[in-house]
Amino acid sequence: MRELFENLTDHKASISIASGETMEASGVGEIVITVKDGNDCPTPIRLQEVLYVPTLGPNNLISVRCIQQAGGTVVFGGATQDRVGIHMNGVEMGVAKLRRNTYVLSVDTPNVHMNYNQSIAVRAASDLTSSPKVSGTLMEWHQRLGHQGFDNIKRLAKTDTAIEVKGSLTNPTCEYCQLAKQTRIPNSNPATHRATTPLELIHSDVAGPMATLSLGGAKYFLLFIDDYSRHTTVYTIKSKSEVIDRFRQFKLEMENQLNTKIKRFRSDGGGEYTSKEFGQLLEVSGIIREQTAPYTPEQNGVAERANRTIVGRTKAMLFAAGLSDSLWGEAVHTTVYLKNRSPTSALAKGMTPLELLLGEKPHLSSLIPFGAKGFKHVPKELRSKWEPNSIRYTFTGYAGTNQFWVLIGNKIHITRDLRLADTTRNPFPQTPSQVSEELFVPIPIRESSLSIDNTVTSSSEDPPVHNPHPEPEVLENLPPLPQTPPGIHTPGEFPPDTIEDVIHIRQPPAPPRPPEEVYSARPRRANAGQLPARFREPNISQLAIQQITRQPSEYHAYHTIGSTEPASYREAITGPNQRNWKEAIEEELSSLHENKTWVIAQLPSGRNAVKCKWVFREKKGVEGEIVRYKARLVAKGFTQQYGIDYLETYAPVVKLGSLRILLAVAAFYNYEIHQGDI
Amino acid sequence: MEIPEGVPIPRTSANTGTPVCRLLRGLYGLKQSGRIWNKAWDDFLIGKCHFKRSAEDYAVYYRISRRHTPLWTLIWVDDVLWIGNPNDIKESKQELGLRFPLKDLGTAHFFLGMKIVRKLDERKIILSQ
Repeated sequence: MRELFENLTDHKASISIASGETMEASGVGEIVITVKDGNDCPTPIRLQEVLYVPTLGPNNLISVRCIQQAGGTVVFGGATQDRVGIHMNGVEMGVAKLRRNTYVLSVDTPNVHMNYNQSIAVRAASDLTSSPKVSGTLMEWHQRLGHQGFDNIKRLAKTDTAIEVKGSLTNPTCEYCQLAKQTRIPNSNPATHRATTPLELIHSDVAGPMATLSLGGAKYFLLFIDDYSRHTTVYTIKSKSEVIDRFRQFKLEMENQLNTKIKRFRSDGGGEYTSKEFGQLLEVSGIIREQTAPYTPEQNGVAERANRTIVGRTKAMLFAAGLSDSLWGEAVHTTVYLKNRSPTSALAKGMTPLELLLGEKPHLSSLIPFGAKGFKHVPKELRSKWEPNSIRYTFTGYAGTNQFWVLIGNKIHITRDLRLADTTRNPFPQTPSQVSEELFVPIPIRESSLSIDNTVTSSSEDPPVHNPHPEPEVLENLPPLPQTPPGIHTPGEFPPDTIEDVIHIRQPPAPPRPPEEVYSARPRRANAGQLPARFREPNISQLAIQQITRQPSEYHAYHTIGSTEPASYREAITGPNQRNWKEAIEEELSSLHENKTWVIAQLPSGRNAVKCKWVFREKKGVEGEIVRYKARLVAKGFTQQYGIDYLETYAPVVKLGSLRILLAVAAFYNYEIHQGDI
Repeated sequence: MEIPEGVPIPRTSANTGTPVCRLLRGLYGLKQSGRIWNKAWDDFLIGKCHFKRSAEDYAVYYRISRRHTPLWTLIWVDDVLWIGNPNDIKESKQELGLRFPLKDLGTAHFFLGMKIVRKLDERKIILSQ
């Protein structure tokens, strides 16, 4: 196949295949293939980033996912069930026809198989059954943990046994974090005195105003950080006058939960903190105020740094999820939730704020990337005939133990039953679907849930609020997200930014899907359908983690024609592993012979001989390696005629009624009930 | 049954007709498979172990032991459930174990997808699915 490549350059990559083994790619290049549509009309297409895998043999694979990423649509079925159409801008460019359970792309050049099973992540399935340990690459964890620094993740992996980082430990580059977090190189930080007990020192800061109001109408977020544990509490607020109420709330809650009192309070000289009322509140509570000097935010370093961390991660999460800025409130809450559950360099090795504050280790086994898409089934009673069976929602945060905030239409709801489909980015806002209000308990958006006591006014006694935080403004000056607009493509000359995704076997692991599902490239429809029941519990291992970087770090290929089990006797004795299969056949025949299963006789006239066939199975070990070749002779029972070849078919099955009666008898007489298996 | 692939076909002559396999034993896939299995089971329980088969439910067998205690044996294809006195159950398991490769699963907690929870002191059995 090497001769097909143009511009083949050396490139090492390993591709995990369905059997659990890996294949090595030795190069990457471009290939021009000529696909043919249903009418055999040829179109030359240039595939870029095609991996050269010498061991793949005569069969080549093309990734459905990559076609989709390039803006194409892959339509299963259509006119006849035995074909798959590849559409670009609604025009069928090529067609793959069913040949022995595999869709084979009609091309003039090499045989290319539609790797339509590509999204079945075998790894995910085995994770589910084997151990509670959740593994992922650094990048995957980075996304699950709300775009945290890679060093933090490594720190976490060292201490949390549920987390396993596989693959390379060199820090990859997250495109979205670059967009969101890049800053000047910092000056060296002066060491500060650290609090030794919880609530000894609280740092506070307000960030905002944001250019976009949150869904609840908030404009700012307010942080309270415990110096000892670095536990962060965030409130999204509509105006700075809310700060005092939120501080009251925070103070009550923390002091009650932790059985200790706030000793010192550090903030900048913002009007919200210097107001008379705030001063009185601190005074009556016996809290010493530590106000920073004007224009020296360094002195409020902890809060300012947290502020930057949170803004950075929040932005990355929003970019990665492709969600609108108006969800910043939910994203900030999620960031803080995750931050409190992750180590930070300010704490002793691997400690997390929550652990230090409450003494319990947070559970990290069921984290979900912000913006993950899910589906909720709407009961039949609550929808009319033509309404969709499920409504789509977007995961927007953790509301508590096994409760999640989800976005439906443009409302935030709470749900216990989170079923995730995929993490494919959706353009926001989505077309609001008809949501039955009964489905979820709509709750007021958090930001607006408290009425505001506007005792602090921005009148003469209150100086204009100084806002030293430049970060929020950045929100509106974001560079536009790289997008692949569905431009007009003439065959053979794709714009380079779209074609680069039409590559060979480059797929991020995706969640298992029901096999009967029809796929298409329209992003929202591609994931329609729910996960099977066993996948409903949110579990990271099932979640697709989007591969964001262009850097092809991991490849998966699940070859649908990979099964080497022969379909017939002829295939078994002529195909690969024929020696093994012949042995297996011999074994079965000698066993049948030993049992005197039959004698050779003459077919009586007027009778028909029951047909039989060989069934071949590869018995696989835990690693997917073949441990045994098994051949079994089976009779084709359906070729038997009732009354001639058989009279009674009978399955000895106990009636449920008798079982219940006898169990009742057993209960009454206290008989023992034992069970056996033959 | 037709002669399977891999088995040498005996020489035929014009007057012997088509050679076939006359089945003496069961084979996977046959319509009779279930019946053959049940027959073996039935023959053994009734013929050798002196069980009687319930006329109401052919999958329920019972016998009265020397100790005048009843023992029921229920079958669901290849699952067996015994109900009765522990000694009788033990005896029956030993008998069956001689004839069939029996796997003793002990006290039943789960049968046919039903969870069986006993409350001996209250004489209750709680079933749940």
